[in-house]
Amino acid sequence: MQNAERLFREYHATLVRYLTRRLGDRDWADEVAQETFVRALRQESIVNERSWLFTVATNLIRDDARRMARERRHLEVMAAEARDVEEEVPAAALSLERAQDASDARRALESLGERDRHALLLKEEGLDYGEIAEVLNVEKTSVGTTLSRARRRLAESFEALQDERRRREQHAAS
Amino acid sequence: MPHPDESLIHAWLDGELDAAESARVEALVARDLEWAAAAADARGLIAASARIVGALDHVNANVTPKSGSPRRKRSWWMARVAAALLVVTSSALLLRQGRLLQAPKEPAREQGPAASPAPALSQGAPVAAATVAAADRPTSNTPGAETKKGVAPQAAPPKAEVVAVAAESTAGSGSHTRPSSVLNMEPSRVAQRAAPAAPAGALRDQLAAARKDQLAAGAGPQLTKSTQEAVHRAATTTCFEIRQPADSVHRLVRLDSVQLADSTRSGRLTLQDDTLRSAVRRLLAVKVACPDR
Repeated sequence: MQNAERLFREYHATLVRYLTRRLGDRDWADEVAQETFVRALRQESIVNERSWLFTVATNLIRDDARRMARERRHLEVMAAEARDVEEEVPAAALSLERAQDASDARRALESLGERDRHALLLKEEGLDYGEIAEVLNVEKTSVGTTLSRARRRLAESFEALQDERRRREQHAAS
Repeated sequence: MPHPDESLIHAWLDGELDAAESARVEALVARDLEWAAAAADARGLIAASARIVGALDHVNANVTPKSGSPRRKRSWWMARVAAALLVVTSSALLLRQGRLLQAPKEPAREQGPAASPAPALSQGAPVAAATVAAADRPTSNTPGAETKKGVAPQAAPPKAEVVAVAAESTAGSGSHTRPSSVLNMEPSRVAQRAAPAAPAGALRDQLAAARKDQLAAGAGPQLTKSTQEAVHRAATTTCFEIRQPADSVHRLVRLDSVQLADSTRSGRLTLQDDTLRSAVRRLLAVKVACPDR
């Protein structure tokens, strides 16, 4: 029980942040983190706790993603149907700069490949190359390449989105 | 001089190289402009990535209704329903009370043992008050003996007795004045006590209607249709905006608070449930202020 508390205390915050960044939904992140810790408690022994937790959490995200693929298709159909009865939403409702940045950041992140995305988020949580390699089940030597590519693409994609937004705003203003 | 290796520079900046390799890269960056430019570029990318990833922390709170906390959200909804009920009930009872005290003027057919003679009532005494008095007077064996016309009782009587006194007084004088103490009584008490001795005709109907109203108002879930409609009208609406990831198409989904409460209680959204829930989870649907219809 003490071990469980220690595990939770040491890794819960960083795991939830990683999951929130990955999923964009705190509630969902909490659920996945909770499930991860439940599984950790069932384990008799874990060699590298941090990479084990992040690996399980990443796998849970993938499972959820597969499960939700069907729902996503449903959404696309519904959105297509809804275009006829679409209502305009005032831009002011979502005009906070931070919200726009978050939206662009999410879109930029989604534009990355899955491995790049995970590598980037794991690095931001302080995992070293060895741990990232363990979580992603790749060679440690490839992590540097993965990260450098992911960072460049993320920055470029984000910049492109910001430019596009600025152009739209200028167009709307003129 | 080798060409700058971007991944090597990132690894160096991430502190992942051993001491010898790190020293080699450091020397290259110091000596060679191309390597220096690549290192500067990598530093910029690392900083930008951290900033962009940090922006992801700006997540809309309470996007997904928590299945674990429906009670709190329900209480907000229930408070509104309770307030609406209170207004409707109070209005109905006040209205009914006013009718009870003004309308009936026909003689009562059923009189209790302590009731005053029928003619007194037929002269316009408040029937409801009189019947309250009849039902509540517990000790007197000689009706009308304990008080005299227009004379107040010596000891402070219970409320119902005051009503009786007032009723007898007004009956005797033929006045149509309402006994003010009736207004001071709790509405439920008036209606409940008036009911057993309800006379025939319009009064009986009115009392029956009053009882029905009381039941409907007092037993929360048994709302009348009009009350339900009032509650629905009073309910506010919550809007979700669904966004497509690939373009800027928007769709607005409205949930009134009743639907939202149902959704919360059942732990899921019931309006296009799976789809909306999926959208909410993927941050494609966010709670927004509802524009005016």
